[in-house]
Amino acid sequence: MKGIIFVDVGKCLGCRTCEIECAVAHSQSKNLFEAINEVPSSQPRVSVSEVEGLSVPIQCRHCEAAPCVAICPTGAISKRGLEGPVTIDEKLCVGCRSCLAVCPYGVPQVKRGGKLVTKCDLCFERLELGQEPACVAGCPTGALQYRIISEIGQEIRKEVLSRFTFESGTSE
Amino acid sequence: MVSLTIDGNVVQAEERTPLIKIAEKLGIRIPTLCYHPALEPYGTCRLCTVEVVKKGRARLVTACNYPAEEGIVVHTKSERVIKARKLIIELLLSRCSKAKVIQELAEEYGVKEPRFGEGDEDCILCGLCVRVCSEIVGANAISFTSRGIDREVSTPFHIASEECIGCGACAYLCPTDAIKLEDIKGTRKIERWDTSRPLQRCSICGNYFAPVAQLEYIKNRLNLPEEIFQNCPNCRRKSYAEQVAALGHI
Repeated sequence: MKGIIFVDVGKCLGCRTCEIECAVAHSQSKNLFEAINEVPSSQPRVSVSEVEGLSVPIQCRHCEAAPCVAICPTGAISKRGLEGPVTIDEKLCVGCRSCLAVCPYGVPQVKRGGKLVTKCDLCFERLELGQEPACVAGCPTGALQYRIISEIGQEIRKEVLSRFTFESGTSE
Repeated sequence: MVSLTIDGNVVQAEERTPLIKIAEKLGIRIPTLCYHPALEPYGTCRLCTVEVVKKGRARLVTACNYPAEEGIVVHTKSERVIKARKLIIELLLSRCSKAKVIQELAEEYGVKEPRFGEGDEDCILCGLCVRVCSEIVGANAISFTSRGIDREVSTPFHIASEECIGCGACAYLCPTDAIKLEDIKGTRKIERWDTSRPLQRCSICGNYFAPVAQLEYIKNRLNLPEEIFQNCPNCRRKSYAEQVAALGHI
């Protein structure tokens, strides 16, 4: 049961609510109005990139064989269980930035005002409480969805199949 | 498993766990400048001094490298501990009077003017930089040199080290910010080590992003596609976004 954040680019407006929700969820106070005054200010772990008129929110893909986990010399970056998210134990981070060099998606970032590296943790604390990741919960259009990987394939297959049945129905 | 008492809390712990780790789990804060959980304890800054009572005898030990033992009683805030810590802070302050982290400690413990003068050293010889370079990075570019009052951290013979990969872990861990790291015009300079390392230029945006030596070092350890090492993290994220946009979803 490995869940992942599914991004539907067609639904993304580029409003960056996900970035705000993420920063608030990872702030000390967990409250927008208090978070803006925190020093250092909380930063989003998801970023919306603009690509030829489209907006694409990118967060950690929580790779199965993650290069950042493999390269981290202190074991600060680890996978929480075989199918769990890739997270950073900030106490163990020594700031060598090896993870920045190896991530194929350019996800880990140097933390604001600090010496550490930070990245999306799939809001594992929220998941344990049965809540969705903050960016997903806040997305107003449903461009971000928290879905089980094995089900995504099945759903796409079903959708494609339903299209076929519809077309054959109209042609009759 | 052994059973011990820390500030009145009776706890079970794995034998030989450093006291500082057990205290941390209990939420007891012990000040330290030279301890890092990813590194072997070293016991140089002495700030984590606590009082251990064993078989009726009390003595001061450093919590970062004192192992958990059956039946010991640990006091982290006793009068004797605070007095010893104050002296340690006073000594540190008289060595590095301008270091912010030490000034903050002095304020917290009410240490005013150090009786031993106000030096303007910036290094407290905690050895975090030396240890991270050898234990974690494995480059062994820097080390302690000389003895006694001449002891300092340096590259061999004070000349630029060929072993340094320019990762900057030493600068990140330094508690007094004595090690300055600067990226100027495609070169990473670490003035303290008299070292400069060329930076890799991103093949897309042209910005410099990581020391070539560090990328080479990583290449040798991990089998990854070459383009990862050619492009900066921002451009990697962008080109991934382009792929996603073309696909419509991920």
